[in-house]
Amino acid sequence: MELSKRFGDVTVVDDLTFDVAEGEVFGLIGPNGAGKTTLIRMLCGLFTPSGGRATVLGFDVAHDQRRIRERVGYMSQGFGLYGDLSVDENLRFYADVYGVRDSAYVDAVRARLGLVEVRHLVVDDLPTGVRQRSALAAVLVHQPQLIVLDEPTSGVDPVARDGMWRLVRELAREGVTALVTTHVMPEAAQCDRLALLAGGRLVAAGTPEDLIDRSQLTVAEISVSSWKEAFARLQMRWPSAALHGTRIHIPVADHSIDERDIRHTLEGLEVRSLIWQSPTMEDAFIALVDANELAVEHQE
Amino acid sequence: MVTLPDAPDSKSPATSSDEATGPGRVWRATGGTGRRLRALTRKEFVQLRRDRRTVLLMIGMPLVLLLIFGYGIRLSVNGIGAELVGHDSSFVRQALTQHDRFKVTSGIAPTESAARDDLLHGRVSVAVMVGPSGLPTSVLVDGSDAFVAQNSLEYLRSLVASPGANPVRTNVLYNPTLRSADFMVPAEVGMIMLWVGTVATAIGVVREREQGTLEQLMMTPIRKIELMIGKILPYSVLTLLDAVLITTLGLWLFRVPMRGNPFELLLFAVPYLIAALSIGLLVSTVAQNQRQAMQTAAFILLPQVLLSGAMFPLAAIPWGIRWVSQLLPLTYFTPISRGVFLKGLGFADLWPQVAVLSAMAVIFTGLAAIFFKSRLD
Repeated sequence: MELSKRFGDVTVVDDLTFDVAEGEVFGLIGPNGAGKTTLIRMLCGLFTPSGGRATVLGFDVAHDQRRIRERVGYMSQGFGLYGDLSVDENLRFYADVYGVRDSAYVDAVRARLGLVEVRHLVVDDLPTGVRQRSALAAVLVHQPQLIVLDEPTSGVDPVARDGMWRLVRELAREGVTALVTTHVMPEAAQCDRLALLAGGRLVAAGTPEDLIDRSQLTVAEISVSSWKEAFARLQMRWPSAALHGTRIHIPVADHSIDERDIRHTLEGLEVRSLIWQSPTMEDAFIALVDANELAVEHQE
Repeated sequence: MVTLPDAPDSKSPATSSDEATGPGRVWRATGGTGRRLRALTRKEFVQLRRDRRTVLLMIGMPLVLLLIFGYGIRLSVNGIGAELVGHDSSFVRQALTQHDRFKVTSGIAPTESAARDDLLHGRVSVAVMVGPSGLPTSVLVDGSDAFVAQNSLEYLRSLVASPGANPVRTNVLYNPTLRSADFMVPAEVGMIMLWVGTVATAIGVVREREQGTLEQLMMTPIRKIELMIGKILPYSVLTLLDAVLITTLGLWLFRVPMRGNPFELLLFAVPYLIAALSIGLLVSTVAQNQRQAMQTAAFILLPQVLLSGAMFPLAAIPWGIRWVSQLLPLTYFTPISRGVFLKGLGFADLWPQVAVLSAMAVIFTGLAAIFFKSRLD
């Protein structure tokens, strides 16, 4: 019996198995409702597993919940900061809660995250990016060995998002393991390894490259004169066709579509280029989730 | 089986101290319950200081209530409109106006039917028939305002029944002038503590749920019971401060007597306020947001005020719902408060009420702990 969590009759996390190595940035990806949040709450000792075992930093999540919480830094989707307190007041609160006596360490974290200038500002008045950095600082004040970040970059601009990831990678090099949930695919590509969840099940796990390979996709990228017309036609035949700017992507499993098919569909339009590309993370994600759904339906 | 990195013990502990922001390998013994409670309490007070709306709720509302109860609400009515019917009589006039209880019209109504018409249209509330001898024969009272009628009847009966007879000597003890403020302010201390304690605590918890910080706190070493105490402590202080404020203003503005020991009263208030705060915690377990918390609290508080004997005497509450009164903390605190303020009572007299409140505090806190715990899971 592998790790699972049921609420009443609903199984939210179903038979999961995976290992995360120290200093690894491990991504949990999956559509909404895949069970990501339930899983990380269980790993942080907030929920008791209904079945199976999980160990975090060597502690069993079913029995050593407090020891886990003392050693894990968890950042929730809402950041978990007190909006009416200043950055410093928040950091001090969390430092006290974790029993951190070393105020020099808290100062160092604050400096590292570039919060010295905003230390006296009330969190609600800060831009989202700074708020997110403050939240990460609050998570780091007790020197956690594992940080768990639930959708850390939701609602944050690309520059701040980039800075956030650089920090996470930096921490990983120092030996802090990171467990990150996301549904932003370019972010998923930043992880060392990924677990793709859907419907509470593990669909695939591996490095981002593994997952892309596993999807067995190639993508036809088409540039065409009147792209709106072209897209309408292509989507009629291949519902998975997607627009990327004015270019059209058609993810294809195992070269199952012939180039001539595409050109035939676009008859009368001027095809500027048609090239075969390796799929993006997003293409692979969609293909893997779809394949899983088919498999589940088939089973039932 | 899910495994996240191995136990720290299996790795060699890091010894470099110059790497200030590196991952910690050597775990400090985390600070104890006391440290976490201090952090929670301090945070709560900082938040309170910044939150004008809550401060208004805590200080402004008690003040408004105090003024209403002290100045506005009169349990005895003066200046009730009255008229004489049939004949004029200086004896009756004098008797009626003696204590400013009645305001008598200068003219007289010629007949009983004319007087009934005056009562119907609210021109007067009382009509006294006067016989040719100048003595009252009968009285008509407008019963549509039961309060005024009660006040009038009591006085008029003695006037009509025994003109000239020796009146019974009455001595009113503890509040000889039957001042409303003396009666209301002690009860208001209890009402305010209930309101502030319940609402502030409920909102304090629900706000954390709305902000998402409750979820965050659950992921820290804070125990649920610590979180509960971390709410009860600061709001107890706040509620007690409010009680002191109301008492001080009552003594100073309305000259309400304090015949007992105010510190004893404060001591008796402790189990009462713990019961009130626990009700607040219970409210927080069912309310999703601050508005719901306010509504739920109001829903619980209104019957308390009406059924506890704080405003209306317990004896006036019908048997069918008298048992509800027995379950309300305010029912026990009101006699304590009035007893200390007006009668100078102490523990020797009030221990039964204090005992019931203590039991309630234990039961409500226990219930709150159970619900609080399961609601957070």
